[in-house]
Order: sequence, then C-alpha cells, then structure tokens
Amino acid sequence: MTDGVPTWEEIARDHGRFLYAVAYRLSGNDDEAQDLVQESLIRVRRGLERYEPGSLEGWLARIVTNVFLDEMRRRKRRPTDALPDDPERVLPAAPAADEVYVGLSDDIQAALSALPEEFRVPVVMCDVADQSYEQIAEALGVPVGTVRSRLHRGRKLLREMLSEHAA
Amino acid sequence: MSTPARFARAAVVTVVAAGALVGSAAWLVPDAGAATDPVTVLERARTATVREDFSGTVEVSWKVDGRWHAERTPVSATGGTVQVGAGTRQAEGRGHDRWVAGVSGWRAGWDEAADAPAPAPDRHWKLSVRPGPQIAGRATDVVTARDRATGKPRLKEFTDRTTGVLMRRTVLGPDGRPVRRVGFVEVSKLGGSRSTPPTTPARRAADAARTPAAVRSVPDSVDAPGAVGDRYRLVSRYRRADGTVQLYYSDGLFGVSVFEREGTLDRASLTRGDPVDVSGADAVGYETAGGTVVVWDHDGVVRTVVSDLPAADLADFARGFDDRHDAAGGWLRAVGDYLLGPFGWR
Amino acid sequence: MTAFDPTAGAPFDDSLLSAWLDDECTPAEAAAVEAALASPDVAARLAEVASARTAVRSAPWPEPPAGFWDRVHAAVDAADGVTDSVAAPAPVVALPVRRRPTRWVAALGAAAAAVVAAVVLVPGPATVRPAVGTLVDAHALRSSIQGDAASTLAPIAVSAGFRP
Repeated sequence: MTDGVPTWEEIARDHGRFLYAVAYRLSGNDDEAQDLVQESLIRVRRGLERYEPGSLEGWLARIVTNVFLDEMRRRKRRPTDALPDDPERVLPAAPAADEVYVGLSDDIQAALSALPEEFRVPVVMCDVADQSYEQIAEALGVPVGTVRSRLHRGRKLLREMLSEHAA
Repeated sequence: MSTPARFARAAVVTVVAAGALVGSAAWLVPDAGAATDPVTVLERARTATVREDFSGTVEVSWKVDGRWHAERTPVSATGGTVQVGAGTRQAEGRGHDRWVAGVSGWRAGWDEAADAPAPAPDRHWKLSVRPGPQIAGRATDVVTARDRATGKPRLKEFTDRTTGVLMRRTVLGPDGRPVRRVGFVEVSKLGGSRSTPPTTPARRAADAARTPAAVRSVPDSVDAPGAVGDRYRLVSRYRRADGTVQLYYSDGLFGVSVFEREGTLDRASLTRGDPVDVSGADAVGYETAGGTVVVWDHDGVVRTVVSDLPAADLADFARGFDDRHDAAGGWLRAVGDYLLGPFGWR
Repeated sequence: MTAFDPTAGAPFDDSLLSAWLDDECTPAEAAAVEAALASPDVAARLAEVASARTAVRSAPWPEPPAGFWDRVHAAVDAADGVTDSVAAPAPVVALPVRRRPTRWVAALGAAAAAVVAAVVLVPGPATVRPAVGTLVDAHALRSSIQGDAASTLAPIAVSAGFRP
C-alpha cells in the first residue's frame, strides 16, 4: 500500500468477501456473482489511480452495484444476450457445496431475488453493504428521498414474502 | 382484559403520552449546549472517571416482584482512582486494576485489560440524545437506547453536560418501564481541579495470584461460543483461581458474564429464587443489587449468567447460549421469533 | 371508543420508519417517529420493516467456491495484459504414505490403557455450589473495565452478602 491507497490485490484479499456478498445478494446466484466480482476488480484496478482514501467499502459497493446495473441495462437493450450459447446453461446448475446455505438464508436470498430491481438494489446497498442513504443516492443517481421510499417499500415486500414462508 | 377495556387503556396511555410529549416539547429541540452525537456522549461518560474528580452518593435501586429496593453508597474519583463503599464493603479501581475489601481485608479483583473491544453501542441499538432533567443539581443530557424492533426505550444514560460524568443509568424492561437504576443522589467537587491519586492499602495488600487470568482458550468441557444469537459478542475469556471459566459478552450497551464450572448443580445449596425455563432445564433466577442472575446446569456444566439486563432478556440470553449447539435451528428460530414475535404468533 | 392516533390529521410518512431504523432521520423526523410509535399500528408497522431489515443484515455472507480467488487474480491480470509467471501455483506433490505398524499398535495399546485408567480413576461429576454473590461481584468488576467505573462498581459496595 502506498499513500494510504491499497493495491487491487490487497483489496481482493481484505474485501473480497464483502464484494462477493454484495454481488451475490444483488444477482441471486453464484455464477453471476463471480462474474460481477471479477469485472468489479478489473474496474478497481483501473480506477485505483483516481481513488481518494476514504470509505473503501463505499467505493467498492458503488463499483459492484454499477457493474450489476450496467449488466441489467445491457440485457434490457439486447435481450438475446441473456440467452447463453450453451443450452445446458439455460438450466441453473446444481449448487456446489459452498453455495448451500442453511434454512432461512436461502429464503432471504429467494425473497431478495424476487424483489424488483429498483427495490432490491437499495436494500442490498443499505443492509448488506451498509451504505448511507446519501451514498446510495449518489451511486444510483436518484434523490435521497427516493432511496428512502424504495428501501422502505423493498423491506415491506421482503417482510411479506418472508412471513408467508414462515407461516 | 376485555377488548373495550384494552382500547380504553390504550387510549388513556396514548393521550397521557401525547400530553406529556406536548408538555415537554422543549425537550425535542436540542438547545445550544446539548450534545448531538449519542455515541460520543456515551464514550465520554465511559471514561469520565479517569478525567474528573468528584465525591458523592450513589443510589442503587432494583425492582423485585414489582417492588423497588434501594441502597446508597459513597463514591469518589480522585486523580483517576475510583473508590466506592465503606468499611468491609469497598471497591477501588485505577486503570484496569480493581481491588475489593471484605471481612478478611483487601484482595485484588482484576488486573487485566479488556482484550477485545465491545460492539459499538449503536450496532444493535437505536440511540438518541436530548437534554435531560437535573440530577443531583447537575444539568444532564440523556442518551436513550431503543429496541429497533419495537421502538421501546430499554436504557437511558444521563450524563453531566459539563464534565460528561455518568449521573444515572436506568434499565427499562420490555414494556419500557424502569427495572433498575444506578445514579447519583448528591455530588460535589465535580468540574473542579484534579487531585493527586490516593495511596491506599489496597495496592499494598493485594493478592495478584488470585485474580482472574485472561485465557485464549477454555477447556473442552465448557463452551465459549463467539456469539450468542445475533446480538451478543464474546469479548473476553478468563479463568478464575477456583477453575471457573468466566466469559464476558457484550452487545455494546449491556454486558453479560457467563460463569461455567464442570459438575452438577447442588440445588439444595441455592437460595430460593424464581423458576426460569432455559431450554428445558430448570434454572433459578434472582434479582440482586448487582444484577439479574440465572443459574442452571446442562451436560455436566453448571452455568451462572449475570447482567444488569432485565430478567426476560437475560433468560433469552441463557436460552440462546444453550441453543447455539443447533446452529442452523437456533438461527432459524431466532429469525422466526423475530418475524413472528411482535404479532404474538409464537 | 376509538384509540387516539397521534398521527391523525397529519398523514404519517411510513418511509420515516425505515429512515429511523437506519439513523437517517433529522432530529425533527426522529421526534415525529418516536411520538407516532405511541400508536400500536405504527409500532406494528415498525416491527415489520425492522424484522425484514434484521433478517437481511443477520443472514450469513455467502462464500465463493474454492479456487475462485485464484481464477479472479488470473482473469484480472489477463484483462490488463499482465502475466506473472512467479505467481503460478507450485505443483502439488502427494506425500508418500508412511506405514508404521509398530507405532500404530503401541498407540492402540496406550489408548486402551487410558480408557481403563479413565474408568477406574476418574471420579464422577463434581457437585457445584455456585457462590452467586461472588460471581455477581466478579461480573461488576469485569463490567467496570469496559464501562463507567463508578456506576458499575457501586453495586459491590451495597450487595452485602447475596440477597435475592
């Protein structure tokens, strides 16, 4: 590390789990989470020169969220891109041992994945990446009030889905 | 209670609460001298006895079966040394050293620094700070810690606005009513000049060999989970001179000690207390001046937990401590309880 | 009779409940939320969003599969045209299996002897009489290391003996 700026390897080592957790909660599956982390670290490496020491996890959360949103926009523009060449990849792969989480953790992920993207992103940024409303607003390019209302609606929807399952 | 009566009571309580709120509207607007960051206020209070000299009387009061008990003791801080009590009931602290006087003289009570930080006080609690009432003639700020799930206040810490000294700590039960208080009823010399720390008999006579020793690991026969539920984190482990293991957990505002000793509980030796269900074990609970206590045995280990948490919360902690063996089930149950509890579904 | 609703007349913005949980309210908003919590309906709605918030926050972080970070390092380097032959993993060589039957038999014998000794020599579980008063004081001493020393030590001075 020089001048308080970590190297990308240090970021991968010290904040890799954080990046993967945010990526997984946003995307809802391991394959996409891996791609998001990889692309995020490429952007981290290229952007390190412009990084100003401050909230590193805030900066990383913003990068991984942007990578996710870019991918979502790309799919909306070119829906055929979402269809993989390999027909076997249409079906979700069986989870590897590392991906199997017990009980309600799966339910939380399922509920998060079922949330519309506009609610899921602020919920993940707030409750997984621990970002302030201002940071989320800046990352998403929306007013703080919009973050507040989307986050609240997202949590209400989550609560409904989780309580349906629990009942 | 019948439904109309319950509505009537809720209406009265709500009207009274709203009236009180309007009556004390000035409290809602922080004045120029009031602190604004509760975490800073709490941290300042935590270390105030190191910075400030004072002399006064502290009242410890605790509720048993709806009835308040209270005892008073002299307390002073001089040059960073805190002294409480008199005669054969005294304790003294300086830095991380502690001494206790009993009928057989002074003994060392502690000589270890805390080896890990507790969680930040706002990690699990919703904190706010407002101007508080006068306590022992001093203007205070009050930090209120609310349960994020219910919005109910569960702890109030009143600190001297000028020096930051903790003037009163009030613990509130799940219904938001006070169950325990420790606070000054009179104080003097606060905010004055510092004095030289006293040379006391404590440090000369202390038997350091009998103080608890911090340990990195505990015997296999006892348990020391890194966390209990999603709230309490293991902060440190000690081995006492008699072989008892002491684990100290914290959620940032409340500390809980778990004492574990191999063996079976000699129930006949216990003072009669309240029955407490800890995961099927018949535990015994007490309310004492020093805190709430639950004692039980499980799998050949006798456990005693102590905290200034209200009884219901300490019983939950004890159940959480025993339930962690079934990590997935315990976690599922905890989240399930959290989801369904407020609605009376469990 | 209808319960008094402090929010009646001025519509209460429910999104303030989430903001309150996240410490994102202004002091005036926080005061409004705390006043509104007198209403059981508002309190129930707070409990709902709080439960969802806690569920997400307390869910364990997922772990990537084994070998993922090695692949990421290679991919990030490749993306920027960096090759690092030094970083190539060393081949894994299996250690030869060592057979030492004499030690194995000796260990088995020692274990059997230990079991016999344990049965014969180890006493049954001890009876424990917790000195509750002493433990309460020990808790106060430990708490005083982390908290305010005066208020945490004071109970030691008043709890003369153990009184439930």
